[in-house]
Amino acid sequence: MAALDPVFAVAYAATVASVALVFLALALFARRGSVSLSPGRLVGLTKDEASRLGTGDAVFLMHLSIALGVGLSISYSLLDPALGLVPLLRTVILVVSLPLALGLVASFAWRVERFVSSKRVEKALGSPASFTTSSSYLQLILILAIALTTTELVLLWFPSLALAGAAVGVLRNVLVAAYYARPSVNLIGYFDKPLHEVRVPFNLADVMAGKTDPDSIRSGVSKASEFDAAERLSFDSCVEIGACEAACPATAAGRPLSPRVLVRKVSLLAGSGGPAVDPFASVGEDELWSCTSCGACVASCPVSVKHLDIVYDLRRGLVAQGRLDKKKSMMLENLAQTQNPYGFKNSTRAAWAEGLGVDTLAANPKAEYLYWVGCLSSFDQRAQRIAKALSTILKRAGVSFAILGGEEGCVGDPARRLGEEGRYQELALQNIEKLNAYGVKKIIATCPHCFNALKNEYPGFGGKYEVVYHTQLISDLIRQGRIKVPPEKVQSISVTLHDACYASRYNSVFDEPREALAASVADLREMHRKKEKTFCCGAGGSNYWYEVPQQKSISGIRTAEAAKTGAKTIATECPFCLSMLDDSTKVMDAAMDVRDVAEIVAECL
Amino acid sequence: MKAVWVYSESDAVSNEVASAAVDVAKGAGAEVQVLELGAQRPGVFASGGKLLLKGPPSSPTPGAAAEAIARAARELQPIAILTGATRTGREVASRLAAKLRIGCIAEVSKLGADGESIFGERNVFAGKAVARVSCPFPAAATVKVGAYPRLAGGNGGLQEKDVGAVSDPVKVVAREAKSAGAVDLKSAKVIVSAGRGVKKKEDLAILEELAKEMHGALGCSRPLSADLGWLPEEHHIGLTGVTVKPELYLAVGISGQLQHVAGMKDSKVVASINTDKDAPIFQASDYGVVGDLYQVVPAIRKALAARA
Ligand SMILES: Cc1cc2nc3c(=O)[nH]c(=O)nc-3n(C[C@H](O)[C@H](O)[C@H](O)COP(=O)(O)OP(=O)(O)OC[C@H]3O[C@@H](n4cnc5c(N)ncnc54)[C@H](O)[C@@H]3O)c2cc1C
Ligand code: SF4
Repeated sequence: MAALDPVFAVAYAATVASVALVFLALALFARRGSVSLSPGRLVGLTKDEASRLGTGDAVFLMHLSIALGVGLSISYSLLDPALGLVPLLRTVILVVSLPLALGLVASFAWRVERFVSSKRVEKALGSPASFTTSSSYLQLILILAIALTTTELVLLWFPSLALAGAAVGVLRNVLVAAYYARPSVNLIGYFDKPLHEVRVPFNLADVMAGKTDPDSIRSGVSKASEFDAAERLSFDSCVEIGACEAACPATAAGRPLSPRVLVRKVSLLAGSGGPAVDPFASVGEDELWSCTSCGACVASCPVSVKHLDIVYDLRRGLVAQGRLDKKKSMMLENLAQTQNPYGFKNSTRAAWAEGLGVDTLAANPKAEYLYWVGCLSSFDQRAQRIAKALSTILKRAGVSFAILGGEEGCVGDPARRLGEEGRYQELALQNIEKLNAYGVKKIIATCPHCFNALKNEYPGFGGKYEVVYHTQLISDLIRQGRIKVPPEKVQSISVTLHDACYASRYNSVFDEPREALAASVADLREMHRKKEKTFCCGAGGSNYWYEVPQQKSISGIRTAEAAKTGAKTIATECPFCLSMLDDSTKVMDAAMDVRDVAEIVAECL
Repeated sequence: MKAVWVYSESDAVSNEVASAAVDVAKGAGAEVQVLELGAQRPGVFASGGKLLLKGPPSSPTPGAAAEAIARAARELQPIAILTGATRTGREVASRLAAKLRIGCIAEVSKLGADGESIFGERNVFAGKAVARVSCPFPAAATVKVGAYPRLAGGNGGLQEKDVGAVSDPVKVVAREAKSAGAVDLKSAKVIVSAGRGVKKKEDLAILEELAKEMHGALGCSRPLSADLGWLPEEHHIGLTGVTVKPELYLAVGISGQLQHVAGMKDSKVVASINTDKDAPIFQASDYGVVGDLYQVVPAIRKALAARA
């Protein structure tokens, strides 16, 4: 371009101004949300994104091509006057723009598909017209931004059309400043917040010690004004990408929940009126109870919206108002009276271990590991076989371990996910007191909900232990040769592994169960949704204890997926997954059996 | 004279609660007064006397009843107000306790009193233990239904008290009878429960007959309602269905998974029929028959018929 041409000078000035607008918007939202835009955060984010490249995740690749496409076209337009001097740089930019343009075209197609299916979901949910309109508007802006960026990248190839390119770029930059600066800030602020991190509204120990004024506690949200700044930034950052909705098992089962709609509703509500707006006027109770806390929404969101914070805070609001049906309140009452959610006599917890020579910690306080059995494997006859199998393996490997027996209480996860934070912390404190009294250092868990709580949550309440998941320990024992599967004992069956959300997505345990299975069975097959992309069994988030209206069952969808692999056995690694999928194979008359990884390995010894 | 008040929306329960009130009054040196709201109720007896509160409608909602009683209590200062532990009685008592800022002991039997407080016993931990609870006067209490005989006769005269019009914010819009098919498993004393051991839907008829002959209700395991659709949803017992505590629970062709047992384990007597001697249901049972339900059930029916 001729540097002195006045028309181009004006175009360049407009470009620079629009880019400045983008940065201004970033700074503004960062200040409002108290998010730091420090180089450290940006480097961290870049590293995080780079580490995801290998996963080949489609949503992520599209998000990346949009971000890089915008970045590239902005760089090009800013560098434009200098490019004539460095022709090589221009060539490099042009070459790089090609794959990005392709990525953008794919994103465009995906967006259109999402748009259509989002309207279908809204129809099924009976969303009001005002909501549908506002949702369509945001989605069309997104489609427009993608189209503009694609056009701009293509125009780079035609120097004669540079002016048109600049105009397209300026318009796109204004859109970015207006709509996408806030989500970018949210992403920079929260990309590395672990999925398992739950907002803790109060610390019961502090309240009991008089360090916190109980009147100052806001347990959950019953007025829209009660969401905190981070939550607001989170739900206001939603630009209707819809990756959450595509991943959500509740939506797939035709339950009255879409994480996208929920987040947007809350955002519209909080922005709509006075501080006293009642969120439950537009968010339904069954909508909130539909969530299984599987975390697929949060994990798939390209801009780090934390849907689960909102679900938990609103559930806590319902609990605070006593809006619980019989099933839920009974479960909570059972937890208080019997320390297990089923209401069984807690002293019978160790009945499964009778005659197996498994010690309690009271009898063998020197044991290296505590095996934390969990409620379902303690009381359910089917799930007890997991506990028995693990005991067999540990004994065979010569691992020194003991159980708490009747002294073990529910870890508290069902109460926390239901929104009864107080009951959860009560159970946690009781358990921690016992564990610390025994000086427990290492814990093995066979339930991923126990595992997650013990590993990630208890440290915050004074319970710090080295916690391993049973599949991790089993694969270690195999690797170290402490247990051996002789070749003739390898089972000639076809198996597909169903990853438990709280093991794989929440805690990145997914290679270990595969290693253990690879050593024990002849034919290991994979479902399409696996590892951290697994699909829920339907029991999480306390869903095991109640029912919500739905078109299909979540476990049924998953069982059908497993059946499609042609495998005859579904391997599980969680007693709840086992219970749900086992039930579902019976209901569907599927000729498949369901067994825990520990059971499969134990059978080979 | 100090007074112990009695109120229940049902004549029968009112007469039971009056018996409890006699014990409380004796301990506290007080007299019993049975409340009537809006209009006189000839079916209600009292040992001390009756107190008719004028102003509220004659069959008030719990909210209106509590408001009328609270107004009278502020003036007349009874030492205790007793209601029956029915759905309505519980609500009246808790509203009264809140309005008058007094304590309330709930679902009590074996009531008594001394000069300062009222006391009673209540079941806790699903009936596995008994707690003695007490509360200083003035106090409210809900009396366990069925724990006292009905007080017969005894009438110490009628007083009246005008509490002024009580407007009722709750309006009854419509009354609808429960659908004919609905079973009330929760209140059934005997439950015959069917599981997947039953081969076809038509075979449920023999269990339905058996339930009728035992004056009980028919329940089922989840697969029969949720998956097979042989019975409506409200029949299924367990973790995700109803929780029941009948005198007798007869599990027929039910394996007894935890999810089912969680809903019936507090039954007084559990009996089961199952072909599999290792079925977990036997561990939750007091009596069991290892056998084919198609032989055992007809045999039971025959024995019942012979006894009748
Ligand atoms: C999250 C979740 C929640 C659940 N909630 C509930 C719930 O609330 N309630 C519930 O019931 N289930 C519930 N279930 C299902 C539960 O796990 C069991 O699958 C179910 O209770 C089994 O029903 P059943 O005993 O009728 O069938 P089965 O387990 O198939 O048992 C049938 C039994 O009949 C016996 N039998 C067969 N033929 C005969 C004969 N001719 N005479 C006598 N006996 C015979 C068999 O030996 C067997 O023991 C739930 C499952 C899940 C995963
Ligand atoms: S956590 Fe799972 S079930 Fe809940 S909204 Fe997110 S995707 Fe849906």
